[in-house]
Amino acid sequence: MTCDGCTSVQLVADYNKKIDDGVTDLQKKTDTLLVKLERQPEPYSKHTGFYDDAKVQLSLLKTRADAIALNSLTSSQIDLLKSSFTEMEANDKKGNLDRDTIPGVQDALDRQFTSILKLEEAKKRAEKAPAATKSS
Amino acid sequence: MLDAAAPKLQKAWPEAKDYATVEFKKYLMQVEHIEEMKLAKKITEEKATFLLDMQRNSMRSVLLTVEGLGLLAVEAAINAALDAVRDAINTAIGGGWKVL
Repeated sequence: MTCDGCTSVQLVADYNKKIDDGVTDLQKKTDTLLVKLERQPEPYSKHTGFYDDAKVQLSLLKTRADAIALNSLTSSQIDLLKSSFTEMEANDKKGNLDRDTIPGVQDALDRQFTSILKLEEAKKRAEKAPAATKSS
Repeated sequence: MLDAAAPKLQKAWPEAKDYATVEFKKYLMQVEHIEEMKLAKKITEEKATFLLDMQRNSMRSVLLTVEGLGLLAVEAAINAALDAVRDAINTAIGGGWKVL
């Protein structure tokens, strides 16, 4: 909790545009891959670059989220997203990412992306009083 | 203070509740669908486990958002309550002090 001297209280971090943009960008890349794979299946070896990029992007998002006070919920959400990408890559390697599973995978990932973006959007707060002191 | 805080909570809770309700329904439908595909042998046990794991992660993330929306509502309510008594307390303390 942060308390601004104590003119106002803050329980959740402020909105962060870089997290918003980073998550939106990753969602776009992921949806692009899944739409392509659903139309034309291809082996894991053809898109290892996608997983490498996603890992880097998730790592950057996690570092950024961790660096912000009162942001543990978003940090945990990014951990869950990392876990989903690990799961997706492992199953892609086994040939389990195909027309049977892609719609369900896309639905689950979209829900994850949306939940992160919804919380980020809510952090903008309709009306925010100035804060004086912060304690986490 | 209570009068100032209550509308903030009354406004925020239905929004969080609607979001959670819609997402729970989608989650249950997906889980049901996976179960049906597994029983009909349209997907293997391994693929079903993969899909269920993905759905579980997504639902956990939704629950974290609901928790965040709740915290933001409480934050808004506390700040509205503080706003409501700020002038009265600062005036009562006097001497130009602004304790709130």
